[in-house]
Amino acid sequence: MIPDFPKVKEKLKSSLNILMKQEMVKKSPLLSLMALRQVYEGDKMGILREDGKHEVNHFNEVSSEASISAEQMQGLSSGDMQNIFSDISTNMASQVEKGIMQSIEKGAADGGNEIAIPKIDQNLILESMKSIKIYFHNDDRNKPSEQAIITEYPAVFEILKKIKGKQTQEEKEEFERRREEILDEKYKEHMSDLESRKMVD
Amino acid sequence: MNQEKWLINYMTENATKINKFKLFCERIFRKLFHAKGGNTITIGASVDKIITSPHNDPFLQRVIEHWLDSVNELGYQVLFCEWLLFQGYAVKYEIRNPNFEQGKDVVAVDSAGIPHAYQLKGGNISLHRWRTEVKPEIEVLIGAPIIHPGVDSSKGHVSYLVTNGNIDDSVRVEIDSLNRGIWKEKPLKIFLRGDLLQGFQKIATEVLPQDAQAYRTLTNLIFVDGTSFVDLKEIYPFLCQILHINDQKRSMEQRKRDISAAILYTTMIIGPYREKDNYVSMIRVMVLLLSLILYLTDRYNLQEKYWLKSYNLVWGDILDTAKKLESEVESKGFTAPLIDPFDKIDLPFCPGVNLMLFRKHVTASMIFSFKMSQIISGDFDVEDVLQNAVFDKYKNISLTWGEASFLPVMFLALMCVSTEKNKENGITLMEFIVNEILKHNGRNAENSIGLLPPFFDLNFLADKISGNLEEPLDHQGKHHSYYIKPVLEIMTRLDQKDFISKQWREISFMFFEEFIFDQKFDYYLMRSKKGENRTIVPKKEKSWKELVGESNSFNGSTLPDSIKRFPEFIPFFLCVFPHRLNSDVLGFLFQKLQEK
Repeated sequence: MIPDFPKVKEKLKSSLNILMKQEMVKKSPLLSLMALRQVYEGDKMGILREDGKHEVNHFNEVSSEASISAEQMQGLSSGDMQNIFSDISTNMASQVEKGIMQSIEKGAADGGNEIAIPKIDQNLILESMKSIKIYFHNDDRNKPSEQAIITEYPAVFEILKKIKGKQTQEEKEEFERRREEILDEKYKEHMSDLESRKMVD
Repeated sequence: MNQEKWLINYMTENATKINKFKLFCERIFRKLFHAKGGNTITIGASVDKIITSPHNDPFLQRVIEHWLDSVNELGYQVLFCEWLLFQGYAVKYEIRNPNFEQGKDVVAVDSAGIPHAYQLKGGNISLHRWRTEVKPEIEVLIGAPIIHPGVDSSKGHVSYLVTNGNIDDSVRVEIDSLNRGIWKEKPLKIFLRGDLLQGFQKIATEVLPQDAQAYRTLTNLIFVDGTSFVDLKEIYPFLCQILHINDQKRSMEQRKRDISAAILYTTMIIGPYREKDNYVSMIRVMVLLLSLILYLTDRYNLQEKYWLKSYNLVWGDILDTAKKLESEVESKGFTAPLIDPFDKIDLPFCPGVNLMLFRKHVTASMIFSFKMSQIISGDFDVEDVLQNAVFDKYKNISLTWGEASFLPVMFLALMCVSTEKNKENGITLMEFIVNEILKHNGRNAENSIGLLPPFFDLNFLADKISGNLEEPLDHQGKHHSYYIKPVLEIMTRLDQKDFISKQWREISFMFFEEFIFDQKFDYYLMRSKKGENRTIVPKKEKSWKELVGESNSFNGSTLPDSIKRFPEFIPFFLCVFPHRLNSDVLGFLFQKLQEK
């Protein structure tokens, strides 16, 4: 055989794996909305809530594969390889989305609610702000944490950018006005929440 | 001389000692693992037979030979004792203090109750050395009775001179003459290099590395740079394989042999570190070995006769090595010759942080673990330990990179709070830990990465700084902590209601992280495949009484049995596995120290 460069190939494979993981997160809007944590052992995640409720979920494996025939190898270009890996990350992202949706639907069914898949637009962003927890860094009204959330989850950010790009000046001003109103309310909630955090007896 | 032999001779004459051996290993490696068909090379038998035959592994034989030739008597003493155990002797003691040895380094008793006494030496024994150094000790070895409660001194003992070298012919002649003369009633027996090799090779070949990768790992490990802070990630799977930790069909006798073999391989692996007096790294590897032995004990309910004596041998070596580490720091401190100029240069992107801090930190961690262990075992009084200007000596070792960096501070704090005189100092140290965690991981922390979780040691940080990380770090530590809950619980037990109440607002924003094992014995493993990563959301409004009740409940009930049987091992265990610090083990240690 002609000589190979296995160490370089190992490095390429490793870099590709990292890239595919990042792509997978970007391609999954639901995953992008979630705070991700790395774990180092075990096969389950659990949460013990303030009310004593303990929920445990087993890890699910997500995998995807692609095969390249000998004939395809002959004419394979770098762009073709990128498409193959892009397909793999898309496939994995859809598996993750499916898994998350199943969890949401199960939770909704247990709670007797229905789930409708919402349209992602300005109104959804504003309505979401009302229902999520917004922290204020150093308790400063001018430093709400929802900014960080938006930039940390690129899929959401990309959608927002597209929306904002099509807005008129009036729509933009209306959006900002409603956003500030919501943040004022949230700040009051935040300060009230702070007061509730204490040691008793 | 055929061409191959000539080539080897030519190459070896022009290489260093280590390179010579490496060349030899690679040649044997290729011969053993070259694929069949085509270019298969056989050495007297087929390749398959060589791999599977337990008594004919030339590669392993040469590995052991190389190791044995590179150590002194201290380097092979533990393995020598393990060899005696392997043959069915009961090892009564090993002497590490030459002032009390009476010429006897090791004493063992055979199955007939006859005592055997051994004087261990390193290297070749010339006539000059025999007459000036060795013979006087042998005279004491033979003449002085063995004074030990476990030894019947009315039965005369058999005396041995043991060395990993050879003796000159003139020495042999003199010994023969003495054995026929004044030593006629108690002739001296000799174990030389060849005898030791045969014995150790027998232990090794009972349990072989199972594949080519394992052999490669072993070679890498025994040629490592002995000055480094050992990375256990490669050693761990190797020892797991040697010990067959997941093989449920292994017999008890086989497990005993596995443990002997693991001790042999561990002794070889720590060889490079022993050569450089790198005590911290030596201890870390031995602690890893003991944790796996305890895993086997608890998982497979091993009876004591299959593991306890081997455990005690390795434990003795850990304590001796820790004493040497402490002596070194006592006499030389952290100054030259430990430092070179690169120890003082600020690391890239870390102003004020240099390698000297790293080195001090890992050393102090191990020493604090040792002191805590001594207090738990009753060898030392807490007051004596703390009186030894420990605060001055070890100040400026604080290096906050991750939660694991708080471990030595936590140990010092626990020691302090177990005395009235130093209680306030201990509480101050615990407050420091809580404040640091809130500063780096709390809701107002500047960045979302925060402190590294306790799964990461300084080797990881060193790789990160030097750009050697294989994968970028994907960690968001903000709002999460593994250590804050156990520390708060100890502070609760110390009635620190004011501090905790004042901080509760910020603490309540944290998520308390812990790992819950499916099986208790998985606690010993570096990583457990099964178990729950549990996140606890603290109550916004928390009752002090409830917190007191919760804190007092942690007394070690979730810990595996054997580690509770050896509580003095726990500080070392946590030093090596800082991610195993949790509410229960900290509560257990707190109680143990309060009892002293």
